[in-house]
Amino acid sequence: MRPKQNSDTTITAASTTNSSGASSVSRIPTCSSFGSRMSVIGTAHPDVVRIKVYKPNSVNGESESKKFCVDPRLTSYNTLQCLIAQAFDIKTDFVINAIVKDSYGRETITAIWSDWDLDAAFQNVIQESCLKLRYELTHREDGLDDWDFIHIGDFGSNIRWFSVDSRSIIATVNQTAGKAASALNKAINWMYGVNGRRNIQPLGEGDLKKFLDCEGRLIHNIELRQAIFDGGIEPSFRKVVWRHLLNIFPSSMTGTERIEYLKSVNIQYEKLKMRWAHEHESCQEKTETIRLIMQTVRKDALRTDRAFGFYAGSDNNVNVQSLFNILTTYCVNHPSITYCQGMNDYASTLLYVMREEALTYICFCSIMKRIRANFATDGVAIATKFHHLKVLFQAVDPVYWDYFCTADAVNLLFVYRWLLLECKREFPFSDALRVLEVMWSTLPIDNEPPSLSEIPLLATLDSNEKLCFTCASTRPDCSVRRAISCPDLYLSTEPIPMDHYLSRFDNSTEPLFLSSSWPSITRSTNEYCGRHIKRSSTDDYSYYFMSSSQPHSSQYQQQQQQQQRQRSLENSFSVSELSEFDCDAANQPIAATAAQISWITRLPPCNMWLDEDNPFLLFLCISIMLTHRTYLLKQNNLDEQDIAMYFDRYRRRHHADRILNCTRTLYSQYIQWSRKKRMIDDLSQFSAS
Amino acid sequence: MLEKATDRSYGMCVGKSCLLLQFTDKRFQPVHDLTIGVEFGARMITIDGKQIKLQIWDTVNIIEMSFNLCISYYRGAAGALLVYDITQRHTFNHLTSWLEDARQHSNSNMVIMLIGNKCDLFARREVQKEEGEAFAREHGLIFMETSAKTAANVEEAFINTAREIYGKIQEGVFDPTNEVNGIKIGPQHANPRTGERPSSSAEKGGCC
Repeated sequence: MRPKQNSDTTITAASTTNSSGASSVSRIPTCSSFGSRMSVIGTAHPDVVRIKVYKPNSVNGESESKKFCVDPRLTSYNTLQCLIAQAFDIKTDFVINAIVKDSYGRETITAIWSDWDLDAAFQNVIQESCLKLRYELTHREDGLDDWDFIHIGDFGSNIRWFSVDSRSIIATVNQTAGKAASALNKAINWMYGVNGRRNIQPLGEGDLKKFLDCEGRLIHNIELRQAIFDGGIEPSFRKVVWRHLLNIFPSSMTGTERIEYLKSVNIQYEKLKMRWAHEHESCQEKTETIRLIMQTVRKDALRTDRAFGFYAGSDNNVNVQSLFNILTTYCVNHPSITYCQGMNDYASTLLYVMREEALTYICFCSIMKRIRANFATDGVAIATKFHHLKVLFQAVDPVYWDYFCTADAVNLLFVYRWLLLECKREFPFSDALRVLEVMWSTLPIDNEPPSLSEIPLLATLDSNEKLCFTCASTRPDCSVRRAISCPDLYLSTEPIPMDHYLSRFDNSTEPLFLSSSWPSITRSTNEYCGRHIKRSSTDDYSYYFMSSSQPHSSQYQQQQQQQQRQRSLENSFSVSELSEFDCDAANQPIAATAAQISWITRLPPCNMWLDEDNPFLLFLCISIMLTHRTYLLKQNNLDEQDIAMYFDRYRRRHHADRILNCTRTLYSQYIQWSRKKRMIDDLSQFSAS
Repeated sequence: MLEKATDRSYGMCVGKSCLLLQFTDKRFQPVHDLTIGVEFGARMITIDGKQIKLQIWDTVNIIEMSFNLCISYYRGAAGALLVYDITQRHTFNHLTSWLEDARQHSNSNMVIMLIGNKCDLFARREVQKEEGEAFAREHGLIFMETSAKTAANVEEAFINTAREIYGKIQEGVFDPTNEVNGIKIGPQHANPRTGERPSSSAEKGGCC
């Protein structure tokens, strides 16, 4: 849906900027007469927006307001803060509220916290009227507020002020610092940015309503994720928000529908569980394979997070039992995946948050849908991650990387657990929840809810499901290396047709899928296909999928990779559609705009990391390593194992907040760079055609 | 040294991590995290008056680990401890295939010690000591029964393996100047206390 449209917008906007922004100094005039020349360029933004700022507790008293005119493309949240601080000579911290009249003439107050909010406020200004703002002084809280002021001061040094009279000032913003930095800041702030404000509160119960419509449909999914990215989720509220974060609901479900949906999940879960948890232990159905699964899972359930209160105590702890039930149900119902160590860590985290077996189960299915490749025995998925990690690490910090080279530690073997468990074990349990939710908020939104079982509960199988099992049986080595690959499942009440078995066991006739993306080929492959073909009329990227409606294995791979690439940036692009595209930057060579983020320039000039499905995780790993940089660089005689043991000592002891901040910054820079790169690709594609 | 044990699919913890913890920290921790990937331990020992730093890798078993990782783990391993659980027959039954894997991916001179762990649980014994000995003889391994819980033979198992590696260095089987063999000469001049350092990258299999 994006590319073509945006290419157009980009070109239009870029040309207007070129004509209007010729001088090296851009102006933020304050004289109100300027407002009359307000014009609208293209369809995007007006040249000038008039702003009227009121002092606290005064709405109409003219004497207590000041007027500004600003160019919305130049004015970031920080600039506005500076302007107001200067204009009213404010020495303490303050917040900015927008006063908006709704269609009934009532005034509503919206807080402006970020470039994002400010942009929205600009968008809402009707032509010929002005944006009314009011600032409110806030009490300074200990700690981080001081930091804010230093920040503003720094920024202010790029702005020159001229007082015209008591009510007006003229400010000029230094071109390099103002324009480029503000464009940069904006681009970062739009998506996964470090917002100007500090002390960002975690998402609480009241906040979720902002993202729902009146019937409880989640309509602002991206904004929800942005909020989670910025501040995480209030612990007591995780149970509700994680369901959305983990994509367990089909899109556009109302609140009532979700309740019904969860009820049905509950019923299905109980049925799936009955496939192994028969009352009659002696039943023939309980095959050797199932017994083996139970045995394996029990061993591991008994040693998962037992030091944590929720799972502590005797082996009869009900939570340990639930963990066992969830994992066993999953493995019995997913014969192509089976149990792998590490799954228990995910399930344990989810159960702690969800507290209900069925709910945990569907969340677990959803996570597994995304990460099952990591558990594949061929190891391709993890090896790819290792490779991406090394490339990024090398770019982010070449000195540190050299240190690892010298120590012969470039295998980064100790990172294996970080990657497989998404760093869950590297932080204290409760901090790990925060880290995970922030990470998950960066992942693509998947509108297809997870399937609860590979083996349908219904007696009939349609062709799609057959396809699924065909794929499953072709997994390389699966029958050879996995002793528990296919439990012999059948229920007398729910017979599974014979051809289901045939398709699973007849390996010889099937093509082999050796790609790392294999595991994401699920029963919905056909649907993906269909969807892409449908979308292709508006989506330039979909032309790959037009070639054949009966694709073969290589095409599957291509599709999957393509799709992954598309999805990996989907969120960020959707956001850019909602706001002004950073058009200036697009017209310049990447190196110029990224000059401030020097590590980006060290990335090799190819696209391969765009195929990474969880770049945040890689930056998280890098951030963890960076926290030990100073210490390690001073050590001369460490070898691979010493370094590994050093990191291992910090297991469950890393400082989550500090590391998350570092990760957010790196990730933002990376996403911004990827977006620009994508945009340039689009442009060249566009001009070529 | 390379230790490697159970087949994950059967999910038996034979006690690899516990053995390592007993050797490096001299303590027994019955409940601990299951090993993901590889974990590490190290201890200085003295053989024939020489200070030797043993580096031990505690790994998941070969079935659990992916192929690429497997190669990295075995790279530069001078020895391996192959662990089974005397109270679980099937962990013993799988030794042949584990051994094949280990030999396939490693240096042919790698010293392999076969260990029957949990010998404190003699009441639940399923594999007789004689069977272990016979298997070791047949495949040219050193054999010991240990208990990570009571620390019986744990020290000996690691030290004997190291001694065997040291012997091979003396015989010239291992070239200590070639790091591919998993042996590094310590900085002798800089630190006279450190002699040779057979840094035996080790693997332990499985799931404990």
